Order: sequence, then C-alpha cells, then structure tokens
Amino acid sequence: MAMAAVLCLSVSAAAEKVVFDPAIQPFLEEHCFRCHDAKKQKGDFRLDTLETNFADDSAAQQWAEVMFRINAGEMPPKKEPQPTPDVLGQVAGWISSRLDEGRAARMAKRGPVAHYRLSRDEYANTVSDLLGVHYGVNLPGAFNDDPRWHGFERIGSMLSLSASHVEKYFKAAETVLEQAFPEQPPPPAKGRRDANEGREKWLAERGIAGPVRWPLWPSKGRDAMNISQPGNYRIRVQLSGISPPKGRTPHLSLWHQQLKRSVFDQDIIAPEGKPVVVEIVMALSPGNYDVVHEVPAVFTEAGNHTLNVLNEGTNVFTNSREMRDANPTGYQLFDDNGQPLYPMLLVDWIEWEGPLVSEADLKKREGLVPKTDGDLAEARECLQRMATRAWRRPATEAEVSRYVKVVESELAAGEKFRAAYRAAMVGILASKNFYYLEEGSATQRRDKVTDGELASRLSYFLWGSMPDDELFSAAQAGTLHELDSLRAQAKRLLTDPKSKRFTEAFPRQWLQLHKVGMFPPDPKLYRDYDGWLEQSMVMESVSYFSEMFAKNLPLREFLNSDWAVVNPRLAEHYEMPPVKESGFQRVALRPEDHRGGLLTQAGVLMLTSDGTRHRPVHRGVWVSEAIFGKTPPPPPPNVEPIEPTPTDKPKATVRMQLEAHATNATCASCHAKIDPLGFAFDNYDAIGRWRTEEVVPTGKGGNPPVNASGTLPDGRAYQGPEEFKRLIAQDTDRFAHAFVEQLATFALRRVMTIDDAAQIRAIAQASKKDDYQLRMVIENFVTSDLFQKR
Amino acid sequence: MNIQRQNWLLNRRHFLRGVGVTLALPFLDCMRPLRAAAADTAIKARRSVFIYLPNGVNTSEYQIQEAGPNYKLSAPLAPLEKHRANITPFSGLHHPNALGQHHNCRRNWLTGGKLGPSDRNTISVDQLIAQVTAPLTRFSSLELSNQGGSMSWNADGIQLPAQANPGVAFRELFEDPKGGIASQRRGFQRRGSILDAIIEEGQSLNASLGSEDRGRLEQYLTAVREVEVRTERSDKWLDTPRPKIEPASQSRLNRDVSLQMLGDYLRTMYDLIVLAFQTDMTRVVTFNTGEEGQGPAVPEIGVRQDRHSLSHHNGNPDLMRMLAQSDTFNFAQFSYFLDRLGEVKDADGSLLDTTMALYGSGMAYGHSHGMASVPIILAGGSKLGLKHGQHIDFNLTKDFQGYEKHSGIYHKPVNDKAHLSNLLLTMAQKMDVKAEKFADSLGPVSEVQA
Repeated sequence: MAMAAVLCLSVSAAAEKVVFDPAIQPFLEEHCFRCHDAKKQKGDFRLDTLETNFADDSAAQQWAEVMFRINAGEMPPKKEPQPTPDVLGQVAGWISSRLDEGRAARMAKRGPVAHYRLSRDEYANTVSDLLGVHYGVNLPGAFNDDPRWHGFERIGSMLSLSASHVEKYFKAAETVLEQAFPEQPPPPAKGRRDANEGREKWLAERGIAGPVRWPLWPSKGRDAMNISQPGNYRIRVQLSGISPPKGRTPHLSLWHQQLKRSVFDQDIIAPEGKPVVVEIVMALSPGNYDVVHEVPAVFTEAGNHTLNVLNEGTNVFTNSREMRDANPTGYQLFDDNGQPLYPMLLVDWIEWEGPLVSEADLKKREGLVPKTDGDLAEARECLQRMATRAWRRPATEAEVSRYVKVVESELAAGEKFRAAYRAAMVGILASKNFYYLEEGSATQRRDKVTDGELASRLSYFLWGSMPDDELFSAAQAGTLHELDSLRAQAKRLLTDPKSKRFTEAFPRQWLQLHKVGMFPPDPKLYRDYDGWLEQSMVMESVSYFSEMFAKNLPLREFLNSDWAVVNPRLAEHYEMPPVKESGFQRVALRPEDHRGGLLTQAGVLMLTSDGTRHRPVHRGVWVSEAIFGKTPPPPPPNVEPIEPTPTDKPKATVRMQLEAHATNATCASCHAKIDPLGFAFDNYDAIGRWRTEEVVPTGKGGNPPVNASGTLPDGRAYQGPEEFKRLIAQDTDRFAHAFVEQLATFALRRVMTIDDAAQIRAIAQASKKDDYQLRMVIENFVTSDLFQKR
Repeated sequence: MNIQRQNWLLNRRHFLRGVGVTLALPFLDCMRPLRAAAADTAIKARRSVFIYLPNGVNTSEYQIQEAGPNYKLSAPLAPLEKHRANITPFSGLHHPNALGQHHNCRRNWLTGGKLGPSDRNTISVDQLIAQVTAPLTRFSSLELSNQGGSMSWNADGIQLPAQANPGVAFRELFEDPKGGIASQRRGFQRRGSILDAIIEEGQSLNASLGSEDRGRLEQYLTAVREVEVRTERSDKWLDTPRPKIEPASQSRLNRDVSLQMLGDYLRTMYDLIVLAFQTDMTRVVTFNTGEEGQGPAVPEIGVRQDRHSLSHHNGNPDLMRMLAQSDTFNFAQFSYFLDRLGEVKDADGSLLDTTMALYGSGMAYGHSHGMASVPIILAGGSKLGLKHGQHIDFNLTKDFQGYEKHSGIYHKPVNDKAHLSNLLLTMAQKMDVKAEKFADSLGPVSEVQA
C-alpha cells in the first residue's frame, strides 16, 4: 500500500533522466530500464529518473525498495535474463552503502540551534562538578537508560525527550538541591564493626584474648554497615586474603542488599599475619551493605550441620591453626599446617564515616543561596550566578526574571523564603538550558561554534561534564578558539584527574562494552564464569585504554602489543603466571599467552558471543565497526529461509555450519567480507579462553579442531589470530582514520558523514608524523576545524 | 484550599491560551471532572492489555493446523486449553512495515509504523486508547517491561519508558507519596509555577525559530506541556484516596523478583496487572516480556539460553526442543494470567469479560527473521463484544498450499490483506476509540465480533 503511494510520487515528479554511478549504470541498463523507464513504467515505477540524493528521505526509501526487490529475488523477474549472483551482490551492496551514507547525513542534520541532551553519566558528572552532590542516575526509578547508537550513549538524534524524562529531571533537581542545601545538614555518622563487638565479656569468659577475625569462606558475607543518608563516605576494612596454590584470588566485594549489586570490588592478596587496610572513598546510596567474599561457593548445600557449625556465633576464629580445634565437626577450612583449603578472607574490622562534605564541595555552593531571608535583590543575584554556572553561559536578566517570578509566586502562596527560593533553583536545573547542550543561534546561521559552546564541547568531551572556572574564563575572554589557547586548555584538561571520565567512557562506548554479559554464559558450559570475571573483562579494556593514554602510546598498540593489563582474576582466566598484587597491572606477554591488543581481550571476544557459543559473524561485524569504522550492510530482508541442518552428522564447528549455508549468492557476497574478520578468533571460546578444538555438544565423533585461518578482504591470507593482528597492525593509517571518526562521533555527539571525511583524514594524517600517539591524535582532533564546526 | 486550587487551574488554562497552543497535545482533553469519572464506572469499565513475546516461536510445533471452531490446540498452546472458550488464536497476521526489519519488529508491534532509521515511529494503539481512558483513572496507562524497553510510543513517535521492577511499579501505583494531601497539593502548585517559567523560556526561543528548525525544541515543549497536564491530573486525583491493598498482596507484589526465576517474575507482573485493573488504577497496560535480542532464559525448566539464541536454532533439534519448551512455559504463564482475570469479579461477570488481552510476537520464524503470520492470541473481552472459540486462519486463501513447507509462509504473507493493524483497530474500537483506521489497517476484523 504505502509503497505504491511512494512510487507514484516518482512518476508525477516527471524528473530528468539521471546518470547513475558507473558501479550500477550497466546493471540498470541491462536489467531494469527495459520495464521501468518513461515508456513502460511497469508497476507505476520509473527507475531511470530516480533521484540519487540518498540524504533525501523519499529517494532513500525508494532505493531501499529497489534493494528489497533485488534481494528478495523478485527483480529482475524470473522470466527475464538473470544477472550473476556476484553482480546482484555488488549492486545491492552499492545501494546499501549509499543508504548508510544518506542515513548518517539525516542523523547528523543540524538546524540553526542544535540541542544535545546530556547522557545519564554526564548529568551525574555535571551535578557533581556544579554542586558537589552525587546523584545516583542508575538507581531504580532515577533516569531511563540512554538509547545507544553503535555503543555511543550521547548521540543527539538518539536522545529524545518525553514527559516522563521531564518528570525525572524535576525529581532529580529536587533531590540534588536537598542534598546541596539541606534544611538541616545531616550529622556525619560513623560506625565500626568487628568480630569482638558486643561479646567481649563472653570471649573473656572463654579465655579468648585479643582480636577475633571473621573468616569469610567462598561466597560468605557479613553485615557491614547501614547507611541512612546518601553522600560520600570513607570506608576502611582491615583484612587478610589467602588462597591455596592454584586457588582463586580472594575477592572482597561491598554488596548493596537492596539493590542487589556490588558497589566496590577488589582482589585481596595479604598473608594471614600481615593484613592490609583497604580504604574506599565513594558515593553511597542509603541501604544495608555486606562485605562478601565473592568467589564461587564451595559449600552449596544449605542447612547441613557441617556448614551450620561454621555459621554459629560460637564459632570463634583467631588464627588458622586453632580453627580446627574450635569446630571439630564443621567443614575443614585449613589443613593441619594452617594452609587454607579454599580462598579465604579474614576480616578484622570495618570502619565507615560520612556523609563527607569536602571544602571543595562547600566552595561550589558558595553564593548560590541568599544570606538574608526576604531579600529579593540578593535572590536575583544568586539566581543569576546559579543559572550562569548551571547553563554554562551568561544568563540574561530577562531569563533570570522568570525564576525570580517563581520565588515571588511561591511567597505569595504562603511559602517561607528559603523554600520559595529553592523552587526557583529547581526550575534552573529542570530547564532545558541545564540538561541540553545548546549550539547555534536562532537568528543567525553559522557553521562554527562560539567560544562558550566550544568550552562545553571540550569539557564534555574530556571530562564528561561542565567547564571549570578557568575554561569559562578562557571562553569569556574570547580567545578559546585560538589554536594555542585551545591546545593549552586541552592539555590541561587531559592532565586533570577528571580526564578519567573520558578514559572510561570513551573505550566503553567505542568498544561497545555494554554488551559484555548481555548474554550470560550457560553456567553448565562455562563453570569458570562469574560476576567478577565479567567486571574484570570490562575493566581490562578500559584499563588498557588508560595505559595507552597515560604512556601516550601509538594507536598501533590497540591492535597488537607485547604487553597486557590484567588483574589476578584475568591472569587466572588467561592461564598466565599469577600476578603479585591485587588490581590491574601491566605485564609482559609470552607467545603462549596468545594475548596482546584489544582484539584478543576476553571482554571483546565475549561481547559478540551468545552465552553458549562464539559467533564469528558478530565478531567480524564488531571488528569491521570498531577497527575499520565500517558498518556492514544488514542482512537483506526476506532472504530465502535457511533450511535447518540435520544434526545426526559428525560434529561441526560453527564455522563449518556457516560455510555450509554460504550458498545463497546475495548472502555470500557480503559474508565473504565480514566473516574472515571473525574467523581469525575461532581460537577463543565464548568467554575468551584459548583453545585449539571447538567443544561441540551434539553430533557424532570427537570435537573438531579449530580453523582460524582466512583471507582478508584485501587478499592477504592469515593463519590464526596472531598473524591476523600483525597484518592489520601494518595498516595503521586505516585504523587511525577509523579511530578519529570514533573520537569525533563521541565528541561532537553526532554521526559522521561524507562531509566530514576530508577533515577526519586531515586529522589522521597530521598525527602520522608522531607515530599516531594517542594524546597527539586527541590534541590534533581538538585543534582541528572539525572540532569547531557546527 | 479548594478555592485556591480552582483559581490555580483557571490561571493555568489562561496561561496555556496566552502562549498559544500550536502542538498536538495528547491528554489535553483529560480534564474531565471526577464526577463524570464516577458516573462512568457504573457503565462497564473497558480494559486492554498487550503482552509481547520476543523472537517468535518454534513454528513447526506452534502452528495450529485446523481452522474454525473445531481446531486442535498445538502442543505449546496446550496450557490454554481450559480457556478455549475465551481465546482466539490467529494465523496469517502481519505488519507489512515490519517485513524485513529483523528484530525491530517489537518497535512497531503496537504501532504498525515504519521502521527505517530515519522514520519516526507513530502512536501505539495502547496510547491511542489511553487518550480515551486517561480521564477516568489515576494513571493513564502502565508500561511494564522486564528488560527496559516499552511497547508504547506516544503521538510524537517517542518511546515511553517502562518499569522493570514489580516492586517499584507497585509502589508507584498504590503508595501515597509522603507528606499528605495539603503538602502534595502545594507541591503541584509549586511545580505549576516552575513550569510556567520553563514553558515561557522555551516558547521565547521557539518564537524566534522557523517552524522547520524547531526540531528538538518542539519535542521539549510538548513534553513539558504534557508534564503540566499530568500535574493537573495528579492534583485532581489527590482528593480520591488510593485503594488499600491487603497485606498478603502487598508482600507478594511489593518486591523485586530476579529474572532467574522467570515464572515467579511473570506471575508477579501478571498479578500486578490484575490488581491494577481490579482497583481501576488504569485501564491500559503494555507488558514486554523480553527484548528481541535477549528474551529471558527459563533456568527453572533447564532452558538456559535466551530466546534469541534459541530462535536462531539452525535446525538443531536440541535448540528447537528448548525453544518449544520456552514457548510452552510462556503460554502457561499467560494462561495463569487469564485464570487470575477470570477469578476477579467485575460488574456482573469477571475481569476477563471486561478485559481484552492481546498476546503474541512481532516475529514468527526467528531463525531467519520471518515476520509474516506472527503468533497472535486474543483473549477475554466478551462483554465488550468479542466472540471467541475458533482458530482464525487468514492464510487459507486459494493459493495456500498447506503448512508442510512451513518456513516460507512466515516470510512472505500468503494473504496480504491480513494486517495486524486490523486487529489493533478492532480492539481500539471496542475501547470506544472513535477511529475508522489505525496505521495501515484495512478495516476491523469481523470474525471476532459478536
């Protein structure tokens, strides 16, 4: 129905004959025009005049129909001469690429004023920098998930707004301001727990002198603290972490009982006699927290005597040698020499205090609330300051007046002055000026951002948040757009601790790490998999990026390296020699580790898997998008259904099954480009472990060996992942181009189009002389024309 | 207090006129006074719920072979046998705009809209219905989804957020916000004056932009104005106490349930929907039981893979068996929902008689993304004029060659008149929506009308 309408349009347009791209002109002439030209117009459709501006929505839709008909095998009709499958694939591929370009152009379209809504994380960072308040954007009922485009969470055209968003911004503003300017500041609270607590007398009666420890065997937790006020807290835990040879590294996790999620994790390596003190300073939401030894449980049978004994309050642990005597009938946790049989945490005490309000936080709030009740002139001044800072630009008098009016109408309704003033502040934070980044002017078309807009662009790029005073001043002075000034500011922002927000957010979004754990692996097939491994996988890729950034390494090392950044959990997972410390650390790689670069990191290998098996096609698509910056066309609609394969045959790898299906020509032409980028990693299973044969649960005979060889789209052949990585690392120019494009997508909050390609290329080329060092690429991007283009 | 509020309302109306309302404002006509709402409850309350199952089904097990009243329920549908008199399974329905759109099919399941990357979705049928029912209940509609994405799109084609946690949804529905009526009313007033400032601010920029350039700003103003209407509506409902919920129901529903216990999760959500209908908190609910990419596994029956991986079974009999098990399990939970609706008295029958429940998927044959002849079951609503008891098979055309060569018919519609929008239109009409057309509908489905 709809289609007929669209197609009629093209007829009535009575357009000129079009000269098509040489890639498709011969095909169209040979197979299409005979029926779809001025004379015949079969199906009321003319192809010879079809507009080739793919950025035009209606033209794009008609081309999409053409592709649909070709792919579905409807066109050319069966009775007509048939093109070869290769040619069909090429034509469909050409249309598909143009459609992609047109789509990007439409998504990147900017009116005279562009509004880019802050992502959840950016909102949290901004209120933290503005008022020193932590707002839990991820808490249930807080903000909705941000829609992503290829992993990016801050693409303007994706971040739409509905009434419920607005209501959530209201609620957030009220909560944030209540915390920043409480009616009565909550008194800072303190707490301490230890195993002696409350039973000193009982212990003394039994002749137990000195400190008692909590033994936390695998999966055992202890109630640690109750937090009633949200805010920043300092938590200190003294404990030891010991493990039998080849056992898991003991792992401390701070577990929020109500949210059912861990808020802090760390591996603990400390001998029994030499406990360490872990100090954590972090924002906590109200609730009950446990300390948990989060490694897979070994005593799974609940309610049996041997376990009950361990849980008894009378079970007193002082040291591993005396443990046995104290509980002769409980599970044995240590051998006769005091060596642990399982990973063990031995906790001495836990202390916490908060909410902590730092001097820096208080300073941020200065001058934002009138000192004198009832002084409307002062209220105006304060609102002026508040709005100017919150909206990241000078607020005009007329703008501020609207919020002064709120104070007045609240006063008229009988509210006290402070409450009336608070309402106006809520308004400033619930205004679009706060949660949208605005670029452009209503009255004047311009293609460059102003210094004020540039300041926000820069700070949201590198800090995920608002500019600080110095950056504001540079913008005010009107010198920020000068390249020296801009480079100096970029360097300054990059050395500030807040740049950590960039080194976390960018790799997460670029590499689409949100997909890690999206399909939880089948626990029967992947027993080693646990929550801490999943977190570690994400942290590995992020830490790798941080290391690249800290050392200013060349982009090439994203693709291949002789080093890795791992924590104890990943060292186990990769079967590397155990690492000495907890936390992430750089290690040198041996060939037998089969790691190096991003492509063979467990998280990257896992995020394309489906919970049971690895998926070579998805891995290929990922490599194509993240490394080459090319999104392969989606599978064509209405392909002939894939007929199921019988499985009473010999065991087949995923690759063998895929190849058996690669008979459909239209599919095959595309898959020939995608699949080889994924087959190279067949040596890694669904959770990224090295293997040489593929475990196949059904079918006859033994498990088939892995075949990780293939041919790159440019014709170079590879044998296995190492050679694959070596080959693509030789082609850094191509990767650099793609990388700059990813940076720009992130920073400019829009999809890059053909119009940006030349500038992207220029940035990459300018970085080549510095061997594509990461920070140089970033600086060159910030000082490019592209960065100031709107 | 009441006088003050009336003034406030008058002021707000005046204000809205002042700035000149140029945008389509959903729910703007929802100011029907409470008395009218009370009168309406004497008539039958009409309700609708839309429930989505991701990734289609194992079609070779699911497909019902016989058409008409003497059909035999297929094995996965066996749990619905006891509701035979109250259900109608359909074959052959499809959204033309979903064909070839892969897992985007969830996005237009209730809208029938176009799904191209630059297309804006259109209003979903539940939101169209909510425009009629909103004035009558405290909540215009309820959106539930176990993995975040709702089934509902507003008139601007923007997806509404959904609640995944039954406890949070329960508290939103049944718990009074803190502070008592007077302080809440004061809060609404305060919000009103803040909204005045914000709207005026947006309006002033809007005025200086050409209409083609407004883009995001127009969306912003619509959203803010809708908040204004919602605030008024909440204010109106303040004097009506929320229903008291028995402690047993409270403790059952006011909690978070892990998706690892899928049955418990689904039954809790279904119970919550029943309670929301029973207490007339809303008359329109959508429930997405899984995202296309990650429909939940069913660990409790040993199906540990998500529905997406199962649906791409590649003919592997183990995967196909597990997909059928997962299908059966999900239909059994839906059957539980119908049980519960049937147990609750309403008017001179049960809630099932006054509630239409649509259950199904936007996908049919998931392995190769076949979206013709999607699984659809319509249940309940006999007092709203629905007639059940047969398998309505739109595939039975003269060209139809039977279900043996089965996957083909799930890719290309056999009957290109069998638009799913026809059924959505039928439901909307039964909900008193005055519309002759919805999306690409060709007309209502006469076969289910009494």
